[in-house]
Amino acid sequence: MIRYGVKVIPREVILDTQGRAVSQVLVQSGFPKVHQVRVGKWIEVELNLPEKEAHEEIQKIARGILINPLLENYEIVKL
Amino acid sequence: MAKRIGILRFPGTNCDSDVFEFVQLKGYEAHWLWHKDQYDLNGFEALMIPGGFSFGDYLRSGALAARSPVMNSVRHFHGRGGPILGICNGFQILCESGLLPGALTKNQTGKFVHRSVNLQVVSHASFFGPQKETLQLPVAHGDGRYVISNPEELEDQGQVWLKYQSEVNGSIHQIAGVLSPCRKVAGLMPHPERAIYAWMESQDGLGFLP
Amino acid sequence: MSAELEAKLKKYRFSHSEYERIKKLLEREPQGLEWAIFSALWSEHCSYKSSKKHLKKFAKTLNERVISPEGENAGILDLGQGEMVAFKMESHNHPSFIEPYQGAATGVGGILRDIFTMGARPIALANYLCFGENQARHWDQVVRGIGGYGNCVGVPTVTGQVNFDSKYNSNILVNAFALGVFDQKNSKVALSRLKEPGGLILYVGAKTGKDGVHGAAMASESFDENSDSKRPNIQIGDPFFEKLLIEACLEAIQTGLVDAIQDMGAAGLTSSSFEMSVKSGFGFLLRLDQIPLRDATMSAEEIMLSESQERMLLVAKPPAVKELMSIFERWGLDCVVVGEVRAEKEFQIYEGETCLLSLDPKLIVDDAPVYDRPYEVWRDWSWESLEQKLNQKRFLACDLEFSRQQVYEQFDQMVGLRTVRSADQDVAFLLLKQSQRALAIAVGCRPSVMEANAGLGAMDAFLYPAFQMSIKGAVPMGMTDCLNFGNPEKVEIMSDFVVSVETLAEAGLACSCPVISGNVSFYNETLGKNIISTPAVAVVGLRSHVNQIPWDSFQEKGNWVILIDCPLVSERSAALKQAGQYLKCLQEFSRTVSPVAAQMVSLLGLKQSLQGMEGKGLFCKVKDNQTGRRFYQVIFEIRNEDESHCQQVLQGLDETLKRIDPRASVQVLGEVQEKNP
Repeated sequence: MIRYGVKVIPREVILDTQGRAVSQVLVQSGFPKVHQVRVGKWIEVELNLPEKEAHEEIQKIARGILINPLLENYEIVKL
Repeated sequence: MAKRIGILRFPGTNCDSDVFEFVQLKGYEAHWLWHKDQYDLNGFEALMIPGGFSFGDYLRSGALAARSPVMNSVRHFHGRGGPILGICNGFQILCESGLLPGALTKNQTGKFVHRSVNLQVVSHASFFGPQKETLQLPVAHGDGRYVISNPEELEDQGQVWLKYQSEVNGSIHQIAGVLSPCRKVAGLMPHPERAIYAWMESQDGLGFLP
Repeated sequence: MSAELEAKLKKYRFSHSEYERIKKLLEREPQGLEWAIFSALWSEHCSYKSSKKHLKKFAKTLNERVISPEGENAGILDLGQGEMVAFKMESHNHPSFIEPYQGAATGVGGILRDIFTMGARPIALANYLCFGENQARHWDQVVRGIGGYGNCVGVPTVTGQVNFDSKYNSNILVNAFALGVFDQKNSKVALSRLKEPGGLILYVGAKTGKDGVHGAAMASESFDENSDSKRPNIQIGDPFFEKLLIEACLEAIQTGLVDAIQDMGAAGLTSSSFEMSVKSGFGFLLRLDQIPLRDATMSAEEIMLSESQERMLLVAKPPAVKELMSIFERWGLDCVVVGEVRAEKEFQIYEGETCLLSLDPKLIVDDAPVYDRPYEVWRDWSWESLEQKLNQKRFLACDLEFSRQQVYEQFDQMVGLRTVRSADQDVAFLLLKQSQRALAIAVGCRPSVMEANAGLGAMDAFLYPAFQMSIKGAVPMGMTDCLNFGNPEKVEIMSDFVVSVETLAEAGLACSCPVISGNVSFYNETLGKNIISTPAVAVVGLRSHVNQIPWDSFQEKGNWVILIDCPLVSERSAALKQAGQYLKCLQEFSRTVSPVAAQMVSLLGLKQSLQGMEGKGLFCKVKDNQTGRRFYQVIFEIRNEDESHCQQVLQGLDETLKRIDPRASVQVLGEVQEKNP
């Protein structure tokens, strides 16, 4: 069994509406030094595969389903 | 002089004018309360938090609104025993601010639902009616599934206010509305202000304001 | 011609003749920013170069109720008793195919801005959608996108139409409609045209990012997700921001301090600023270094072409700026001075001290190319052959089995406390709060009718919704269209387009229903395959009150079910004249008799239509050999306590109808019966 974490984050050029709203509230709530907030997702996936195949599989899963390449970037971390 | 009810407005609140209309229809004087400001709410009969998408529902529904300056005035009002009603997003804000128990999360279907539902009145709030046993009201929400770790306890203490009579959003025990232990703070997902005129499907909303 | 120049023409999408035209207008080669600006403003989308010549034909439909000034964002209709509404429908087809959720959401956002830009508060949204086969993901995401935006912004989605046909497999249609009302006490209509120079230009709303920049060019190429720079920059809609923008703009307009206002839609800052400048006849000076940016690396061209959402351009006199800024600040929105309006006609763009562009904007806007593309005159107006073709039509299973409920349940239909009849009924009715009258909204255009006969299909696109609301007692007052077509360089498509425009214009004239706004979407074509020509129409009507609006389904056992046959002759203007008379006659009947339910016979025929009216355990059975025509038949459920009086009324109606067409008739089909439990 291998565990991976997939960090999904909005692409830099794409407007992150959620991040914008959160950062505005933070500034108003007494954290004036907040410059930018980006909100993404953290997804953990366990695979029942040998390591080499698992590595390919998680790439496929991330690219094909977990993210929308038009909107998001991702990073895979082995846990 | 007409009795005063304060209506909270956050950026993204969108049922504010509807609640204003409802409050006026029932003969009260309606007052706006802006999210950035703090108020002395002496002399107010009650407060209402209307539905909508405060702060875009970002992070979690109601989470950012619950941390706004106006909520300090709301807490103070509550401390003096003032009645507060949260409708839909207002309910979510009250849960996020700890004035009501539990939390509201995404509907089980993952989809927004707009529909007319039948409700059972389980216990009574101290200020906000209704006197009837069953009600028909519309719902319109994406995050309406009520969750709490100890629903039985809530039921035993008479804090479960309203229940759906059929499955709507996956709420535990089909809970549609809850009360604070003192029954002065009330929150519900359905919209009473959308059931007040003869041309609407139901007029059961009228009973929510004395 | 050099390869370098060829590449440039391709990048900026100019034909050789357009390039020659630019050189002639400028009396030199275009340079720098001029390329991008000519390209944006001469695109089909901004210039209407293939449709302009024909769209002028709508002008004859305008009557005394229409008060929209020419060339504004949406049309305005005066409904009397001090009530005015603005409405429009617009396409967002291509972006919705690429990224269905965001495409549909930003389509809703764009149409809302067209309405509140004029000073009207949006109170209703509707949509017209066409999908192909096996597009579950597309339509699920489109529906979520429409709901995600409309629900959050607090404008109810009250009606719409969804069609499925394999002709939309690679080009879906997503058309959004919005309607707004003007505040009676303070009904200021905001315009984009300025009366005098000297004002300051204010930029309001969201910051500018690379959204939509070069997006279209990349759309058809497959993209490599590892290369960030090659992916298209999808525009992201933020309904929360739009809600703030609505409130802030309406508040600003009501102060009377806004001299002109324009939203930034397609081609963003370029089209909004040039259009305002040309319409007003005054030069603009824009300072690009003052534009609020989300991304500091943006070039001048990217700033000018960005399609970031939720942005507006305002012009106000210098002393008014402070008060306006405080309104926007209260709503947490950026509001900055980005330039000034000058008496000189030159449009200038500066970055710091550097002048990036200086030219007469009329060269770009007024002298844009206009094409008279070849077409053939439509000759087939035979209803009989249309009926025959439809008899052979095979509808997609997903079209037949489609349930409106699963879509419309995802939309908030009631926010605003005006919705008397919502999307579970064919026609939406909204309460006009001042006069207590009801506003009716119905969307039309049936692709299978268009496919069989574009002339009759276009007539049907107006007539079907007009009939639908007339049988419920509403008088059509105005319409808007969204003309979705394939490649206009093909004769058959241009012919469909021309006959559609001419027929809608004729229909508007014959039925006193002006076409007050609209939008054209050409090039719905992929790999040589074109969509069915689809001129979607939204009709807005008026009913004297909200009581007893007939339902779509049977209501009470024992009531009579009657069928009214309203045939039309096979010639355009005569048919439209008849249709106008039928509509009046049915409105009158609906007013005096107050039917309990009313429905049009659908394309599937009478039997299916009666089945569609079942509900609450009620039905009405007819003999199987009852087929009849589809264009146009009406089913009413009426009360019959006083049978002889009823017979008399029907007799009278029959006589009136026969004066319109001797083939017309009224018959009692049977009674509403209760199903055995």
